[in-house]
Amino acid sequence: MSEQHQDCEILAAHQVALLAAIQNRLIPSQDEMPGAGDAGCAQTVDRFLKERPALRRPIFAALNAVEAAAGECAQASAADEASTHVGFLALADTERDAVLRAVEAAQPDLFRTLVNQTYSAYYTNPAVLLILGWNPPQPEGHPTPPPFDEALLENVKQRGKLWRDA
Amino acid sequence: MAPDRDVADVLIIGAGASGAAAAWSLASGGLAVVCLEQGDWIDPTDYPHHRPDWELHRQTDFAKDPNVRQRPEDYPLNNDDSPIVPLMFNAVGGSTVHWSGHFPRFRPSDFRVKTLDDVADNWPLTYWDLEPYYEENDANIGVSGLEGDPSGPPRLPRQTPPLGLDAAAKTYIRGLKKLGWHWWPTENALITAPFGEVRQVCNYCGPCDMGCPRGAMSSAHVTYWPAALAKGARLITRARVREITVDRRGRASGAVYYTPDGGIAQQRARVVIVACNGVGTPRLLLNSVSSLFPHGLANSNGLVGTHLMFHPIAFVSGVFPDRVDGHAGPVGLLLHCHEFYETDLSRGFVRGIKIQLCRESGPLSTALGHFPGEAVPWGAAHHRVQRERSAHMLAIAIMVEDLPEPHNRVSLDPKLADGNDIPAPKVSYTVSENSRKALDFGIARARELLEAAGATEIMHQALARNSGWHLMGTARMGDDPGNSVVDRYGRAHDVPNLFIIDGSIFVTSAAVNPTSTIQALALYVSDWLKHNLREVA
Ligand SMILES: Cc1cc2nc3c(=O)[nH]c(=O)nc-3n(C[C@H](O)[C@H](O)[C@H](O)COP(=O)(O)OP(=O)(O)OC[C@H]3O[C@@H](n4cnc5c(N)ncnc54)[C@H](O)[C@@H]3O)c2cc1C
Repeated sequence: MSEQHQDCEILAAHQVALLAAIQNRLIPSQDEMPGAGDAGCAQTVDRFLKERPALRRPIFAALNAVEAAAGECAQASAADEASTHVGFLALADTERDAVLRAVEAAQPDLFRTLVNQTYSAYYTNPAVLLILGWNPPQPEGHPTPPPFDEALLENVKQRGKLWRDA
Repeated sequence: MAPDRDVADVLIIGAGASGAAAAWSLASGGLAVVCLEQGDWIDPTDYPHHRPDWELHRQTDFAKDPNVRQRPEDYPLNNDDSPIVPLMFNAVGGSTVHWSGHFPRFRPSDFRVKTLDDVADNWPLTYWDLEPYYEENDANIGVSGLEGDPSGPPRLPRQTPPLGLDAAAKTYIRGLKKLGWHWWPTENALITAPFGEVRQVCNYCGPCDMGCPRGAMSSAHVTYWPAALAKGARLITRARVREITVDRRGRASGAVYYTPDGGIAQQRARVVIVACNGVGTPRLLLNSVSSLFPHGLANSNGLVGTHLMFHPIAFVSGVFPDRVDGHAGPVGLLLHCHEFYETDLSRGFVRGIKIQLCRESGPLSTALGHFPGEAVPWGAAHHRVQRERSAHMLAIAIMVEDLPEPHNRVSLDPKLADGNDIPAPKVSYTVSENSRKALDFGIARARELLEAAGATEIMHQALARNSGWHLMGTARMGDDPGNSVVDRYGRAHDVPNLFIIDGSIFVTSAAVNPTSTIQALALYVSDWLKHNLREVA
């Protein structure tokens, strides 16, 4: 198999797995809502990276920052064992959240990009929108409300002219 | 002598709100009009409104910020020295291709701030000079609203009725009634009932800021352009003007532009009108350097590009326990409150604010916290908070009058250039202390209002960075050639057959959206030009 994940063009397979795992902590699965990673948002972000090269640097940097922080976290919890490289994927959910919070605190802008792109992938995902009951704005639009009722403005009218002559 | 057919009577540069209105007016007067526009027509099927990923297009091809959008027809801007980013669209219709369409007029006092409040300068014309053109413009494009608002002079009946009474409106009205403040349905460049033959009425779909696939928004490409073309105006698209040319006497002779294949062409004209907006116009003038005008055209006093005004904006969002369906209607349009519009120095600042009662958008906008400036948190609380906010949130925009200050300016960036290597603009801007105080005052009032309306959580964004919708002041109008770039008819003091008609010529900004005034001015200048062409050309 090639280095790259079969569905992805920019992210390598290990990056896709890492991103999906992060995304499942950013938007976890709950009741009928899928986790963002499970919903395929890593693949969607890969598409964003293809279409918008300017996003690549911050997303790669954010992934690296998470991996680095995960390594530190694993080392701290296994202080005297000779540690081999342990990444984010090896951590339990609570540890993953702690790692993400640490990265967020240390590099808020990078982390924001990761969150924003995950939200962007999730809330434009047809399956997610179907569960939430959102249709595209057109062609239906939204129901036309009842006409405006001018009687509501009676008090405002009674105050008289509110502008200065000039 | 037969007229030279290659020489237009009038060349208009820029096919946006102002250029379109002028093209219609001048072509209707029988003049040979040519317009050069760097963008193209937007194909109505290009709008993202039918797609599930529609909200994503705010970050890509329908982003408001040209630096993000990066279509080939966009030019880059260096905004490093500005807390506010200029927003625009470059196409036939200009920035009215994607806008909110809030269409208030200035008030009489807005033209007389020096006399009334001893700040900035008076305009060389009054509200009453423009009033007939405001009316003419409204009648041409179709405005929805309700006449009788006591916060401004009377108007003729609006072309179509105001937007309907929905959950969002009722929510706001509840708060407004408790506080006893002024409010009124907004005037909108949008049709709520049939108007014209081909346009469909608004169906409350919501995201006007990404364009209107129905033609319900009264944007220049669906209103003035079809009418101007029918009157014989010629519109050349994908024509990016590099510079305005001058003859030996220092009169404008036309413009040099790039064709889509990168070639260079020239359009000659007896009169040149610049309509490239408050950033594009000073950029073009500063790029039009010649031996007679070594510092840029119409810039002998160095004022071109200075006195840039935006309307600094703060957003205040409220979350309501009941659904308010903020997404179900034109995002920026609903009601306005002018309770705090005129100067009251006891508030700690001069001039006033507009409180614009807006809506929200779709689930992505909510998650990203587009209006409140505060995203829904990630992690275990995500779904709960997203549920609490989605369709339960409304946003108020606080718009303050930005006073003209010479150091706020558009200049040419020494390094940055567009796809044709034309130097790009650099924007240098700071929010004044007066504006900051006005914003803070407005935020406090908006919080009061949302609370009175029943909001259970209120968030605010003290200054929205992506809010440079209104670009004004960079080629200011005035009677004194030492203190202004154009005269009271939009005519450059330095170049007798050069006119400017976009927001650049604003003397002051008022605290309301500018485009009805921009178009009224374009019609007023065009009218004067039609009657004085012989003397001018
Ligand atoms: C998201 C958004 C929301 C808005 N909402 C509102 C609102 O609710 N109410 C309101 O009043 N206003 C609103 N505005 C502002 C409104 O769109 C502008 O005030 C109006 O379009 C300005 O008209 P204009 O003719 O000056 O410039 P524009 O409409 O910007 O047109 C300028 C045109 O000139 C062209 N051009 C520039 N340089 C060159 C060149 N060198 N060669 C060839 N062509 C060139 C551009 O491509 C463009 O098409 C909004 C703007 C945005 C971006």
